[in-house]
Amino acid sequence: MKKVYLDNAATTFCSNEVLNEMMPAFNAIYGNPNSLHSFGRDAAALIDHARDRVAKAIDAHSNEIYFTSGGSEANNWAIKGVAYANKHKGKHIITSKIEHDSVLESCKALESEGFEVTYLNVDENGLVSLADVIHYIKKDTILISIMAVNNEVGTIQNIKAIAKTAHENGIVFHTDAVQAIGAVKIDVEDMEIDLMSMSAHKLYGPKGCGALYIKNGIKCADLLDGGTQERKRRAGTHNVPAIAGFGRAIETATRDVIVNQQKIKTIRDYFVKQIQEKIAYTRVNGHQYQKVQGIVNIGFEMVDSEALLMMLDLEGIAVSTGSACTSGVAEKSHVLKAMRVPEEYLKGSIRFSFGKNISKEDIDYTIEKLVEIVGKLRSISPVTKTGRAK
Amino acid sequence: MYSNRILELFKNPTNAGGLQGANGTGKYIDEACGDYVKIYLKIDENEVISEARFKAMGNVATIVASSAICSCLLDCKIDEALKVDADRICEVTGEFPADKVESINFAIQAVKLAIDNYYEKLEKEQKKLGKTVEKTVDKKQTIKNAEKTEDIVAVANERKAVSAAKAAFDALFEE
Repeated sequence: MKKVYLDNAATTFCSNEVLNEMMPAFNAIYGNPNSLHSFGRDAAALIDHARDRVAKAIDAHSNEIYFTSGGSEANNWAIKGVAYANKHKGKHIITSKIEHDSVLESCKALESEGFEVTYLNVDENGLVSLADVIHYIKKDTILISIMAVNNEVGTIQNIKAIAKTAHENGIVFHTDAVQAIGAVKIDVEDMEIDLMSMSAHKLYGPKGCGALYIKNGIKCADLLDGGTQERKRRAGTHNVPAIAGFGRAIETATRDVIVNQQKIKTIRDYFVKQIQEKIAYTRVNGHQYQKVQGIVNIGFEMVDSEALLMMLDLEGIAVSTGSACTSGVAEKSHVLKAMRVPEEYLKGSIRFSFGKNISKEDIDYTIEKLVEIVGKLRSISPVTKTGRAK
Repeated sequence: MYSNRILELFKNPTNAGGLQGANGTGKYIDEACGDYVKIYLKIDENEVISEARFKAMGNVATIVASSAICSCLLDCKIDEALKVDADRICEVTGEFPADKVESINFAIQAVKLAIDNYYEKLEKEQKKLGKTVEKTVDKKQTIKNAEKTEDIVAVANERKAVSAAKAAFDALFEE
Protein backbone atom coordinates (compact mmCIF):
# COMPACT_ATOMS: atom_id res chain seq x y z
CA MET A 1 0.00 0.00 0.00
CA LYS A 2 1.21 3.50 -0.74
CA LYS A 3 2.16 5.40 2.40
CA VAL A 4 1.85 9.16 2.64
CA TYR A 5 2.89 11.04 5.74
CA LEU A 6 1.06 14.33 6.20
CA ASP A 7 1.60 14.80 9.92
CA ASN A 8 4.91 16.65 9.97
CA ALA A 9 3.62 19.13 12.52
CA ALA A 10 3.42 16.20 14.93
CA THR A 11 6.92 15.00 14.14
CA THR A 12 9.35 14.55 11.27
CA PHE A 13 11.80 11.87 10.21
CA CYS A 14 15.48 12.33 11.05
CA SER A 15 17.27 13.48 7.94
CA ASN A 16 20.40 11.64 6.82
CA GLU A 17 22.63 14.57 7.63
CA VAL A 18 21.21 14.67 11.16
CA LEU A 19 21.73 10.92 11.57
CA ASN A 20 25.32 11.28 10.36
CA GLU A 21 25.85 13.99 12.95
CA MET A 22 24.38 11.80 15.71
CA MET A 23 26.03 8.45 15.01
CA PRO A 24 29.53 9.15 16.35
CA ALA A 25 27.98 10.23 19.66
CA PHE A 26 26.56 6.72 20.15
CA ASN A 27 29.66 4.64 19.86
CA ALA A 28 32.72 6.75 19.14
CA ILE A 29 32.39 9.90 21.22
CA TYR A 30 30.38 8.38 24.06
CA GLY A 31 31.82 9.88 27.20
CA ASN A 32 29.75 11.69 29.78
CA PRO A 33 30.16 15.37 28.93
CA ASN A 34 30.46 16.16 32.64
CA SER A 35 33.51 13.94 33.06
CA LEU A 36 36.94 15.50 33.35
CA HIS A 37 38.78 13.02 31.13
CA SER A 38 39.17 13.27 27.36
CA PHE A 39 36.22 11.02 26.62
CA GLY A 40 34.03 13.49 28.48
CA ARG A 41 35.69 16.54 27.00
CA ASP A 42 35.15 15.23 23.46
CA ALA A 43 31.47 14.72 24.17
CA ALA A 44 31.26 18.17 25.74
CA ALA A 45 32.75 19.60 22.56
CA LEU A 46 29.88 18.10 20.55
CA ILE A 47 27.42 19.80 22.85
CA ASP A 48 29.21 23.13 22.61
CA HIS A 49 29.20 22.90 18.83
CA ALA A 50 25.46 22.18 18.83
CA ARG A 51 24.88 25.06 21.24
CA ASP A 52 26.72 27.43 18.93
CA ARG A 53 24.60 26.25 16.01
CA VAL A 54 21.36 26.79 17.88
CA ALA A 55 22.45 30.24 19.02
CA LYS A 56 23.47 31.25 15.52
CA ALA A 57 20.18 29.99 14.07
CA ILE A 58 18.18 32.39 16.23
CA ASP A 59 20.73 35.24 16.59
CA ALA A 60 21.36 34.57 20.24
CA HIS A 61 24.50 34.11 22.33
CA SER A 62 25.61 30.56 23.04
CA ASN A 63 25.42 31.09 26.79
CA GLU A 64 21.73 31.86 26.39
CA ILE A 65 20.90 28.38 25.06
CA TYR A 66 19.89 25.61 27.47
CA PHE A 67 19.20 22.11 26.18
CA THR A 68 16.09 20.32 27.42
CA SER A 69 14.21 17.11 26.71
CA GLY A 70 11.97 18.90 24.25
CA GLY A 71 9.52 21.72 23.70
CA SER A 72 7.20 20.72 26.53
CA GLU A 73 9.97 20.87 29.10
CA ALA A 74 11.15 24.20 27.70
CA ASN A 75 7.63 25.60 28.01
CA ASN A 76 7.27 24.32 31.57
CA TRP A 77 10.62 25.82 32.52
CA ALA A 78 9.92 29.18 30.94
CA ILE A 79 6.44 29.66 32.38
CA LYS A 80 7.08 28.31 35.87
CA GLY A 81 10.65 29.59 36.08
CA VAL A 82 9.70 33.19 35.31
CA ALA A 83 6.68 32.96 37.62
CA TYR A 84 8.70 31.70 40.57
CA ALA A 85 11.57 34.11 40.03
CA ASN A 86 9.33 37.15 39.77
CA LYS A 87 6.49 36.41 42.16
CA HIS A 88 7.73 39.13 44.50
CA LYS A 89 6.80 41.63 41.76
CA GLY A 90 3.44 40.17 40.92
CA LYS A 91 1.46 37.05 40.17
CA HIS A 92 -0.37 37.78 36.95
CA ILE A 93 0.38 36.00 33.67
CA ILE A 94 -1.10 36.60 30.24
CA THR A 95 -1.28 33.88 27.62
CA SER A 96 -3.74 32.84 24.93
CA LYS A 97 -6.40 30.15 24.67
CA ILE A 98 -4.70 28.52 21.70
CA GLU A 99 -1.34 27.72 23.27
CA HIS A 100 0.08 24.22 23.35
CA ASP A 101 -1.09 22.10 26.27
CA SER A 102 2.35 22.29 27.90
CA VAL A 103 1.84 26.05 28.26
CA LEU A 104 -1.81 25.83 29.28
CA GLU A 105 -1.24 23.07 31.84
CA SER A 106 1.78 24.94 33.26
CA CYS A 107 -0.45 27.98 33.69
CA LYS A 108 -3.16 25.87 35.35
CA ALA A 109 -0.58 24.45 37.73
CA LEU A 110 0.48 27.99 38.64
CA GLU A 111 -3.15 28.99 39.16
CA SER A 112 -3.44 26.24 41.76
CA GLU A 113 -0.48 27.87 43.49
CA GLY A 114 -2.16 31.27 43.68
CA PHE A 115 -1.09 32.86 40.41
CA GLU A 116 -3.67 34.56 38.22
CA VAL A 117 -3.73 33.79 34.51
CA THR A 118 -5.58 35.61 31.75
CA TYR A 119 -6.23 33.45 28.70
CA LEU A 120 -6.72 35.80 25.77
CA ASN A 121 -9.29 35.10 23.10
CA VAL A 122 -8.28 34.94 19.48
CA ASP A 123 -10.13 36.05 16.38
CA GLU A 124 -11.59 33.66 13.80
CA ASN A 125 -8.20 33.46 12.11
CA GLY A 126 -6.45 32.49 15.34
CA LEU A 127 -4.75 35.87 15.88
CA VAL A 128 -4.17 37.39 19.29
CA SER A 129 -5.12 41.05 19.34
CA LEU A 130 -2.49 43.49 20.56
CA ALA A 131 -5.30 45.64 21.92
CA ASP A 132 -6.38 42.72 24.10
CA VAL A 133 -2.83 42.23 25.38
CA ILE A 134 -2.65 45.91 26.33
CA HIS A 135 -6.10 45.81 27.88
CA TYR A 136 -5.26 42.97 30.25
CA ILE A 137 -1.84 44.16 31.39
CA LYS A 138 -1.92 45.03 35.06
CA LYS A 139 0.58 46.36 37.56
CA ASP A 140 1.29 42.86 38.77
CA THR A 141 1.68 41.23 35.34
CA ILE A 142 5.04 39.48 35.25
CA LEU A 143 4.90 37.33 32.12
CA ILE A 144 3.28 37.28 28.69
CA SER A 145 3.51 34.01 26.76
CA ILE A 146 2.20 33.82 23.19
CA MET A 147 3.19 31.12 20.71
CA ALA A 148 4.89 32.28 17.54
CA VAL A 149 3.09 29.85 15.21
CA ASN A 150 0.07 27.80 16.14
CA ASN A 151 0.57 24.07 15.69
CA GLU A 152 -2.99 23.28 14.61
CA VAL A 153 -3.76 25.98 12.06
CA GLY A 154 -0.36 27.52 11.30
CA THR A 155 -1.33 31.13 12.10
CA ILE A 156 1.69 33.39 12.69
CA GLN A 157 1.31 35.74 15.65
CA ASN A 158 2.57 39.34 15.77
CA ILE A 159 5.31 38.40 18.21
CA LYS A 160 7.53 41.45 17.78
CA ALA A 161 4.68 43.85 18.55
CA ILE A 162 3.53 41.87 21.58
CA ALA A 163 7.09 41.57 22.92
CA LYS A 164 7.63 45.30 22.52
CA THR A 165 4.40 45.99 24.39
CA ALA A 166 5.49 43.64 27.17
CA HIS A 167 8.79 45.44 27.57
CA GLU A 168 7.19 48.86 27.57
CA ASN A 169 5.38 47.64 30.67
CA GLY A 170 8.36 45.95 32.28
CA ILE A 171 7.01 42.46 31.59
CA VAL A 172 8.97 39.39 30.52
CA PHE A 173 7.98 37.91 27.15
CA HIS A 174 8.12 34.20 26.27
CA THR A 175 7.21 32.54 23.03
CA ASP A 176 6.72 28.88 22.16
CA ALA A 177 8.50 28.75 18.81
CA VAL A 178 8.38 24.97 18.37
CA GLN A 179 6.41 25.25 15.11
CA ALA A 180 8.00 28.52 14.04
CA ILE A 181 11.66 27.53 13.71
CA GLY A 182 12.42 26.76 10.11
CA ALA A 183 9.07 28.16 8.97
CA VAL A 184 9.60 31.84 9.77
CA LYS A 185 12.77 33.85 10.32
CA ILE A 186 13.46 34.15 14.03
CA ASP A 187 15.84 36.77 15.42
CA VAL A 188 15.43 36.90 19.17
CA GLU A 189 17.29 40.20 19.41
CA ASP A 190 15.30 41.99 16.75
CA MET A 191 12.00 40.49 17.97
CA GLU A 192 12.82 41.37 21.61
CA ILE A 193 12.12 37.85 22.81
CA ASP A 194 13.18 37.10 26.38
CA LEU A 195 12.58 33.34 26.43
CA MET A 196 11.87 30.96 23.58
CA SER A 197 11.07 27.24 23.41
CA MET A 198 12.39 25.04 20.62
CA SER A 199 12.17 21.38 19.68
CA ALA A 200 14.35 19.20 17.48
CA HIS A 201 11.87 16.67 16.19
CA LYS A 202 9.85 19.19 14.22
CA LEU A 203 12.96 20.05 12.20
CA TYR A 204 14.04 16.61 10.93
CA GLY A 205 15.93 16.14 14.16
CA PRO A 206 15.56 13.54 16.91
CA LYS A 207 12.78 13.28 19.43
CA GLY A 208 13.53 13.92 23.08
CA CYS A 209 15.58 17.06 22.59
CA GLY A 210 14.83 20.74 22.62
CA ALA A 211 16.11 23.99 24.03
CA LEU A 212 15.08 27.04 25.96
CA TYR A 213 16.57 30.38 25.05
CA ILE A 214 16.87 32.61 28.12
CA LYS A 215 18.13 36.08 27.40
CA ASN A 216 21.01 37.12 29.61
CA GLY A 217 19.71 39.08 32.55
CA ILE A 218 16.20 37.57 32.57
CA LYS A 219 15.30 36.11 35.94
CA CYS A 220 14.06 32.55 35.57
CA ALA A 221 14.12 29.98 38.36
CA ASP A 222 15.50 26.52 37.66
CA LEU A 223 13.27 23.49 37.89
CA LEU A 224 15.54 20.45 37.73
CA ASP A 225 17.95 20.10 40.63
CA GLY A 226 20.89 17.77 40.66
CA GLY A 227 24.15 17.85 38.73
CA THR A 228 25.94 20.80 37.25
CA GLN A 229 24.85 20.41 33.64
CA GLU A 230 23.71 23.41 31.61
CA ARG A 231 25.66 25.82 33.79
CA LYS A 232 24.03 24.32 36.89
CA ARG A 233 20.59 25.30 35.66
CA ARG A 234 19.17 22.05 34.30
CA ALA A 235 20.37 18.83 35.86
CA GLY A 236 20.55 15.56 33.96
CA THR A 237 23.16 13.83 31.83
CA HIS A 238 23.09 15.26 28.36
CA ASN A 239 21.53 13.30 25.52
CA VAL A 240 24.62 13.92 23.45
CA PRO A 241 23.54 12.22 20.20
CA ALA A 242 20.20 14.04 20.22
CA ILE A 243 21.79 17.40 21.01
CA ALA A 244 24.33 16.92 18.24
CA GLY A 245 21.46 16.07 15.90
CA PHE A 246 19.47 19.07 17.03
CA GLY A 247 22.35 21.41 16.26
CA ARG A 248 22.58 20.10 12.74
CA ALA A 249 18.83 20.09 12.24
CA ILE A 250 18.28 23.68 13.30
CA GLU A 251 21.21 24.89 11.22
CA THR A 252 19.74 23.27 8.12
CA ALA A 253 16.16 24.32 8.86
CA THR A 254 16.97 27.98 9.35
CA ARG A 255 19.40 28.27 6.50
CA ASP A 256 16.85 28.33 3.68
CA VAL A 257 13.58 29.40 5.29
CA ILE A 258 12.28 31.44 2.38
CA VAL A 259 13.15 28.92 -0.33
CA ASN A 260 11.72 26.00 1.65
CA GLN A 261 8.52 27.86 2.41
CA GLN A 262 8.09 28.73 -1.26
CA LYS A 263 8.42 25.06 -2.26
CA ILE A 264 5.89 23.93 0.32
CA LYS A 265 3.58 26.80 -0.61
CA THR A 266 3.31 25.48 -4.15
CA ILE A 267 2.33 22.05 -2.86
CA ARG A 268 -0.05 23.48 -0.27
CA ASP A 269 -1.84 25.78 -2.73
CA TYR A 270 -2.27 22.89 -5.14
CA PHE A 271 -3.65 20.69 -2.36
CA VAL A 272 -6.14 23.27 -1.14
CA LYS A 273 -7.27 24.11 -4.66
CA GLN A 274 -7.87 20.43 -5.44
CA ILE A 275 -9.91 19.96 -2.29
CA GLN A 276 -12.00 23.02 -2.94
CA GLU A 277 -12.68 21.92 -6.50
CA LYS A 278 -13.44 18.28 -5.79
CA ILE A 279 -15.10 18.22 -2.37
CA ALA A 280 -18.04 20.43 -1.46
CA TYR A 281 -18.74 21.94 1.97
CA THR A 282 -15.18 22.36 3.16
CA ARG A 283 -13.55 25.21 5.05
CA VAL A 284 -9.92 26.17 5.51
CA ASN A 285 -9.45 27.07 9.18
CA GLY A 286 -6.90 29.74 10.03
CA HIS A 287 -5.51 32.91 8.55
CA GLN A 288 -5.52 33.16 4.79
CA TYR A 289 -2.18 34.98 4.57
CA GLN A 290 -0.43 35.22 7.93
CA LYS A 291 0.36 31.54 8.15
CA VAL A 292 3.15 29.05 7.67
CA GLN A 293 2.86 27.06 4.48
CA GLY A 294 3.39 23.62 5.92
CA ILE A 295 0.19 23.41 7.96
CA VAL A 296 -3.33 23.47 6.58
CA ASN A 297 -6.39 22.71 8.67
CA ILE A 298 -9.56 21.86 6.78
CA GLY A 299 -13.06 21.31 8.06
CA PHE A 300 -15.27 18.81 6.23
CA GLU A 301 -18.97 19.17 6.87
CA MET A 302 -21.11 16.17 7.79
CA VAL A 303 -18.28 13.86 8.84
CA ASP A 304 -16.36 13.18 12.02
CA SER A 305 -12.64 13.91 12.10
CA GLU A 306 -11.65 10.66 13.80
CA ALA A 307 -13.58 8.59 11.29
CA LEU A 308 -11.94 10.57 8.48
CA LEU A 309 -8.51 10.16 10.01
CA MET A 310 -8.90 6.39 10.45
CA MET A 311 -10.27 5.90 6.95
CA LEU A 312 -7.29 7.79 5.57
CA ASP A 313 -5.01 5.71 7.77
CA LEU A 314 -6.48 2.53 6.33
CA GLU A 315 -5.43 3.86 2.93
CA GLY A 316 -1.89 4.56 4.14
CA ILE A 317 -2.28 8.31 4.72
CA ALA A 318 -1.30 9.82 8.08
CA VAL A 319 -2.93 13.06 9.24
CA SER A 320 -4.03 14.55 12.55
CA THR A 321 -7.19 15.85 14.15
CA GLY A 322 -5.42 18.26 16.41
CA SER A 323 -2.48 18.42 18.71
CA ALA A 324 -0.74 15.04 18.63
CA CYS A 325 -0.20 15.32 22.34
CA THR A 326 -3.90 15.13 22.91
CA SER A 327 -5.31 13.42 19.84
CA GLY A 328 -6.14 10.30 21.85
CA VAL A 329 -8.81 12.27 23.68
CA ALA A 330 -12.38 12.58 22.43
CA GLU A 331 -12.52 16.36 22.99
CA LYS A 332 -12.42 18.49 19.92
CA SER A 333 -9.63 21.00 19.36
CA HIS A 334 -9.41 23.80 21.91
CA VAL A 335 -7.75 25.90 19.23
CA LEU A 336 -10.60 25.57 16.75
CA LYS A 337 -13.13 26.17 19.51
CA ALA A 338 -11.32 29.35 20.54
CA MET A 339 -11.39 30.47 16.89
CA ARG A 340 -15.15 29.88 16.94
CA VAL A 341 -14.98 27.57 13.92
CA PRO A 342 -18.61 26.78 13.05
CA GLU A 343 -19.86 23.61 14.75
CA GLU A 344 -20.51 21.76 11.50
CA TYR A 345 -16.85 22.11 10.53
CA LEU A 346 -15.41 21.75 14.03
CA LYS A 347 -16.37 18.10 14.23
CA GLY A 348 -14.85 17.26 10.87
CA SER A 349 -11.59 19.21 10.93
CA ILE A 350 -8.31 17.61 9.95
CA ARG A 351 -4.78 19.00 10.03
CA PHE A 352 -2.55 18.21 7.07
CA SER A 353 1.08 19.17 7.53
CA PHE A 354 3.55 18.84 4.67
CA GLY A 355 7.17 17.87 4.85
CA LYS A 356 10.09 18.43 2.57
CA ASN A 357 9.80 15.03 0.87
CA ILE A 358 6.20 15.48 -0.21
CA SER A 359 5.55 14.93 -3.91
CA LYS A 360 2.74 15.82 -6.27
CA GLU A 361 1.96 12.09 -6.55
CA ASP A 362 1.47 11.94 -2.79
CA ILE A 363 -0.91 14.88 -2.93
CA ASP A 364 -2.86 13.46 -5.87
CA TYR A 365 -3.20 10.12 -4.09
CA THR A 366 -4.38 11.86 -0.93
CA ILE A 367 -6.96 13.93 -2.81
CA GLU A 368 -8.23 10.84 -4.62
CA LYS A 369 -8.71 9.01 -1.33
CA LEU A 370 -10.19 12.04 0.40
CA VAL A 371 -12.85 12.36 -2.28
CA GLU A 372 -13.75 8.66 -1.89
CA ILE A 373 -13.69 8.68 1.89
CA VAL A 374 -15.59 11.91 2.44
CA GLY A 375 -18.19 10.67 -0.04
CA LYS A 376 -18.47 7.35 1.78
CA LEU A 377 -18.77 8.92 5.23
CA ARG A 378 -21.30 11.46 4.01
CA SER A 379 -23.41 8.69 2.46
CA ILE A 380 -23.87 7.17 5.92
CA SER A 381 -24.20 10.47 7.75
CA PRO A 382 -27.60 11.48 9.10
CA VAL A 383 -26.65 15.16 8.70
CA THR A 384 -27.72 16.99 5.57
CA LYS A 385 -25.72 19.43 3.49
CA THR A 386 -27.42 22.34 5.24
CA GLY A 387 -25.89 21.16 8.48
CA ARG A 388 -29.27 20.37 9.91
CA ALA A 389 -30.04 16.95 11.30
CA LYS A 390 -32.65 15.08 9.27
CA MET B 1 -5.97 1.75 20.11
CA TYR B 2 -8.64 0.10 17.95
CA SER B 3 -8.31 -3.61 17.30
CA ASN B 4 -7.83 -4.89 13.76
CA ARG B 5 -11.28 -6.45 13.97
CA ILE B 6 -12.94 -3.15 14.74
CA LEU B 7 -11.01 -1.43 11.96
CA GLU B 8 -12.08 -4.14 9.54
CA LEU B 9 -15.73 -3.63 10.50
CA PHE B 10 -15.26 0.12 10.22
CA LYS B 11 -13.78 0.00 6.74
CA ASN B 12 -16.93 -1.54 5.26
CA PRO B 13 -19.69 -1.17 7.80
CA THR B 14 -22.69 -3.43 7.18
CA ASN B 15 -26.29 -2.22 7.53
CA ALA B 16 -25.35 1.34 6.61
CA GLY B 17 -27.85 3.68 5.02
CA GLY B 18 -31.51 4.63 5.25
CA LEU B 19 -34.43 2.20 5.04
CA GLN B 20 -37.43 2.65 2.79
CA GLY B 21 -40.60 1.74 4.60
CA ALA B 22 -39.06 1.94 8.05
CA ASN B 23 -41.78 2.08 10.67
CA GLY B 24 -39.56 3.01 13.62
CA THR B 25 -36.73 5.56 13.52
CA GLY B 26 -34.74 6.88 16.41
CA LYS B 27 -32.00 9.47 16.51
CA TYR B 28 -29.60 10.03 19.35
CA ILE B 29 -27.11 12.89 19.56
CA ASP B 30 -24.53 12.89 22.31
CA GLU B 31 -24.25 16.37 23.76
CA ALA B 32 -20.68 16.00 24.90
CA CYS B 33 -19.03 14.88 21.69
CA GLY B 34 -21.71 15.57 19.10
CA ASP B 35 -21.79 12.02 17.74
CA TYR B 36 -25.09 11.33 16.03
CA VAL B 37 -26.70 7.93 15.44
CA LYS B 38 -29.94 7.28 13.58
CA ILE B 39 -31.48 3.81 13.56
CA TYR B 40 -34.15 2.70 11.08
CA LEU B 41 -36.27 -0.36 11.86
CA LYS B 42 -38.79 -2.33 9.93
CA ILE B 43 -40.99 -4.17 12.42
CA ASP B 44 -43.56 -6.66 11.22
CA GLU B 45 -47.01 -7.46 12.56
CA ASN B 46 -45.51 -10.04 14.94
CA GLU B 47 -43.25 -7.33 16.39
CA VAL B 48 -40.20 -8.94 14.87
CA ILE B 49 -37.51 -6.67 13.48
CA SER B 50 -37.15 -7.77 9.90
CA GLU B 51 -34.67 -5.06 8.85
CA ALA B 52 -32.39 -2.65 10.67
CA ARG B 53 -30.17 0.03 9.21
CA PHE B 54 -28.19 2.93 10.57
CA LYS B 55 -26.72 6.27 9.69
CA ALA B 56 -24.04 7.79 11.90
CA MET B 57 -21.79 10.80 12.09
CA GLY B 58 -19.24 9.96 14.70
CA ASN B 59 -16.00 8.31 15.52
CA VAL B 60 -14.93 4.79 14.58
CA ALA B 61 -16.52 3.28 17.68
CA THR B 62 -19.86 4.97 17.05
CA ILE B 63 -20.03 3.75 13.46
CA VAL B 64 -18.97 0.20 14.36
CA ALA B 65 -21.32 -0.02 17.35
CA SER B 66 -24.23 1.22 15.20
CA SER B 67 -23.44 -1.28 12.48
CA ALA B 68 -23.09 -4.13 14.96
CA ILE B 69 -26.28 -3.37 16.85
CA CYS B 70 -28.25 -3.56 13.59
CA SER B 71 -26.83 -7.03 12.99
CA CYS B 72 -27.84 -8.03 16.52
CA LEU B 73 -31.40 -6.77 16.02
CA LEU B 74 -32.26 -8.80 12.96
CA ASP B 75 -35.09 -11.27 13.51
CA CYS B 76 -35.40 -10.22 17.15
CA LYS B 77 -38.71 -9.61 18.81
CA ILE B 78 -38.94 -6.16 20.36
CA ASP B 79 -38.44 -7.37 23.93
CA GLU B 80 -35.32 -9.25 22.82
CA ALA B 81 -34.09 -6.18 20.94
CA LEU B 82 -34.36 -4.06 24.05
CA LYS B 83 -32.06 -6.50 25.82
CA VAL B 84 -29.25 -6.11 23.30
CA ASP B 85 -26.50 -4.63 25.46
CA ALA B 86 -22.79 -3.87 25.33
CA ASP B 87 -21.84 -7.51 25.89
CA ARG B 88 -23.92 -8.62 22.96
CA ILE B 89 -22.47 -5.93 20.69
CA CYS B 90 -18.90 -6.80 21.74
CA GLU B 91 -19.55 -10.42 20.72
CA VAL B 92 -19.78 -9.05 17.19
CA THR B 93 -17.07 -6.41 17.34
CA GLY B 94 -14.61 -7.49 20.00
CA GLU B 95 -13.57 -5.11 22.76
CA PHE B 96 -13.65 -1.36 22.32
CA PRO B 97 -10.87 0.83 23.73
CA ALA B 98 -11.80 2.00 27.23
CA ASP B 99 -12.24 5.63 26.21
CA LYS B 100 -14.56 4.70 23.33
CA VAL B 101 -16.96 2.38 25.14
CA GLU B 102 -19.56 5.13 25.53
CA SER B 103 -20.23 4.91 21.77
CA ILE B 104 -22.02 1.60 22.41
CA ASN B 105 -24.51 3.50 24.51
CA PHE B 106 -25.23 5.93 21.65
CA ALA B 107 -26.33 3.02 19.45
CA ILE B 108 -28.37 1.40 22.23
CA GLN B 109 -30.20 4.66 22.94
CA ALA B 110 -30.98 5.20 19.28
CA VAL B 111 -32.51 1.70 19.11
CA LYS B 112 -34.68 2.39 22.13
CA LEU B 113 -35.83 5.62 20.55
CA ALA B 114 -36.60 3.81 17.30
CA ILE B 115 -38.76 1.27 19.12
CA ASP B 116 -40.53 4.03 20.97
CA ASN B 117 -41.16 5.78 17.68
CA TYR B 118 -42.67 2.55 16.32
CA TYR B 119 -45.10 2.40 19.23
CA GLU B 120 -45.98 6.06 18.88
CA LYS B 121 -46.83 5.56 15.22
CA LEU B 122 -48.73 2.37 16.01
CA GLU B 123 -50.69 4.15 18.72
CA LYS B 124 -51.70 6.92 16.34
CA GLU B 125 -52.81 4.42 13.71
CA GLN B 126 -54.78 2.41 16.22
CA LYS B 127 -56.46 5.51 17.61
CA LYS B 128 -57.54 6.48 14.13
CA LEU B 129 -59.16 3.07 13.81
CA GLY B 130 -60.63 3.38 17.27
CA LYS B 131 -58.57 0.56 18.72
CA THR B 132 -56.31 0.45 21.78
CA VAL B 133 -52.69 -0.55 21.44
CA GLU B 134 -51.38 -3.60 23.23
CA LYS B 135 -47.76 -3.21 24.05
CA THR B 136 -45.67 -6.26 24.73
CA VAL B 137 -42.92 -4.31 26.44
CA ASP B 138 -42.96 -2.00 29.39
CA LYS B 139 -42.50 1.41 27.85
CA LYS B 140 -40.42 2.58 30.79
CA GLN B 141 -37.53 0.65 29.28
CA THR B 142 -37.37 3.11 26.46
CA ILE B 143 -36.04 6.64 26.07
CA LYS B 144 -35.90 8.50 29.35
CA ASN B 145 -34.09 6.08 31.62
CA ALA B 146 -30.97 5.81 29.53
CA GLU B 147 -28.42 3.30 30.69
CA LYS B 148 -25.67 5.37 32.25
CA THR B 149 -22.44 5.59 30.34
CA GLU B 150 -20.53 4.96 33.55
CA ASP B 151 -22.31 1.61 33.97
CA ILE B 152 -21.30 0.54 30.48
CA VAL B 153 -17.69 1.54 31.15
CA ALA B 154 -17.71 -0.38 34.45
CA VAL B 155 -19.11 -3.49 32.79
CA ALA B 156 -16.60 -3.29 29.97
CA ASN B 157 -13.70 -2.85 32.41
CA GLU B 158 -14.91 -5.77 34.46
CA ARG B 159 -15.13 -7.92 31.34
CA LYS B 160 -11.56 -6.96 30.38
CA ALA B 161 -10.29 -7.76 33.87
CA VAL B 162 -11.93 -11.19 33.73
CA SER B 163 -10.45 -11.88 30.27
CA ALA B 164 -6.99 -10.79 31.42
CA ALA B 165 -7.20 -12.98 34.53
CA LYS B 166 -8.32 -15.97 32.47
CA ALA B 167 -5.49 -15.43 29.97
CA ALA B 168 -2.95 -15.26 32.81
CA PHE B 169 -4.40 -18.46 34.34
CA ASP B 170 -4.27 -20.29 30.99
CA ALA B 171 -0.69 -19.12 30.44
CA LEU B 172 0.39 -20.80 33.67
CA PHE B 173 -0.49 -24.19 32.19
CA GLU B 174 0.90 -23.66 28.71
CA GLU B 175 3.75 -25.98 27.85
